[in-house]
Amino acid sequence: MDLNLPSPTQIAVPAFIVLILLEIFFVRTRNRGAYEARDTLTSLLLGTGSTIAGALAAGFIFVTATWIYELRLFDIGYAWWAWPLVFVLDDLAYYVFHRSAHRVRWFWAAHVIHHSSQHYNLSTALRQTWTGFFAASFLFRMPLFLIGFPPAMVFFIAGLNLVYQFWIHTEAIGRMPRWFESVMNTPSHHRVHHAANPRYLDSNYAGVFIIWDKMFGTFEPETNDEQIRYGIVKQLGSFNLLWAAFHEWVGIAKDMWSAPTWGNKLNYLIRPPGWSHDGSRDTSETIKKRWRDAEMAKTSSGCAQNLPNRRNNRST
Amino acid sequence: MMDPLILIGSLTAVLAVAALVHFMKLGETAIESETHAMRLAEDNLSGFTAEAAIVSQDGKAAIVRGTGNTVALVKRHGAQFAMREVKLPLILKQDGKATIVDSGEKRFGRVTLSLPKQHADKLLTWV
Repeated sequence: MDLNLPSPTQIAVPAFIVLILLEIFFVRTRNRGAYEARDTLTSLLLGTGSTIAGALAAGFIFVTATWIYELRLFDIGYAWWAWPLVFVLDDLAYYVFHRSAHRVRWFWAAHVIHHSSQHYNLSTALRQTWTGFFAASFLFRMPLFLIGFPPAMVFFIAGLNLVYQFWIHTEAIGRMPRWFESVMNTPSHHRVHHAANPRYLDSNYAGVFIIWDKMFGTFEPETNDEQIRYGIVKQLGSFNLLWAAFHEWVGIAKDMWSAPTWGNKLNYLIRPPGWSHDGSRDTSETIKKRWRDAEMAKTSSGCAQNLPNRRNNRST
Repeated sequence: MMDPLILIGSLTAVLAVAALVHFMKLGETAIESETHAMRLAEDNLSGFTAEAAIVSQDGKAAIVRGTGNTVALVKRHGAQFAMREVKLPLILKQDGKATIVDSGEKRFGRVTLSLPKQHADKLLTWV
């Protein structure tokens, strides 16, 4: 039996547009910098391009998924309990994919497009990859087919996961109730993920459930003490669609071309973004370390400044 | 495959939303002061320590001098700011009252500052 399931993302598109319009009217009196015309146009056109790229690759991905499903370990079918189970497992697969997409430059090259806006609003949610198929991002879901979940079921659930992630791309919502924040991915958690501030780099990879970050040590809560700067470490400074979609691939090609050894060429593909064979660039680790050292220096100089005062106080 | 009508409808909606944002004049911003420019450079460029800044009169760009002979270009990018640390000597061009500084990066482009004479002269001492 094979179910003919609809595409949740296609059904949700009108709701996406209505919610974007509502957010625009919401921010017009509260935070007029939340939207900017060229940024919005870029995000939405990148989203449209992603839909086209996805449609072109869908056939191949579905055939591959079906082929792997033929080798399945269990006959799960469309049992009622399989739906919530695959929802959770698919979200775990998303976490693994997403973490890899930030830690392996090959996958980052496809994913960076989603982080290339310096704004954080609902239109940013639609700024999606054009090259995910080329980067083979779909491989992360393949274990689900091997376990025995039908491809139609998994792709439907993956669509629901993507729809959930739309509403968390906003500054219009502060924090959700504590019980919700502790289990679910929320605007607060995902703002942290989109931040370029050193303290927030490489954290909160969750799709729907934030529990994965808490389990695997990548959770970072949002603090009220520091204003978030969105985007990437080296901001593009350009609204060019093609540059947003392909700049990291161009960077990889240039680096591989000029790398002195085959080992270094490979490392430019598999090491984290920012890695360089001569150590001349910053990775998120070096940026975080520099920031931590600076914070510690501030704290210790603050202590040192306070010491004489305390001594003076004692002597008086 | 994708229905061409859906594609046309999507593009129409995209243009309509972007036009709405444009006509509502959302996303306007400016570099407010030298201190603001210095803070932007320090916050966005890891390890950069700002010493002084020269800000364009229109608030659209700034040049920040850092410790150790470093210089950062700051430019308005939509409602935000983008910046690059550039190597000295700076490549400057004067076009009337505008001072144009090349970032050396094609996609980042050039930064144009509208400066009074004393600031333009000061910039020349940084080059």
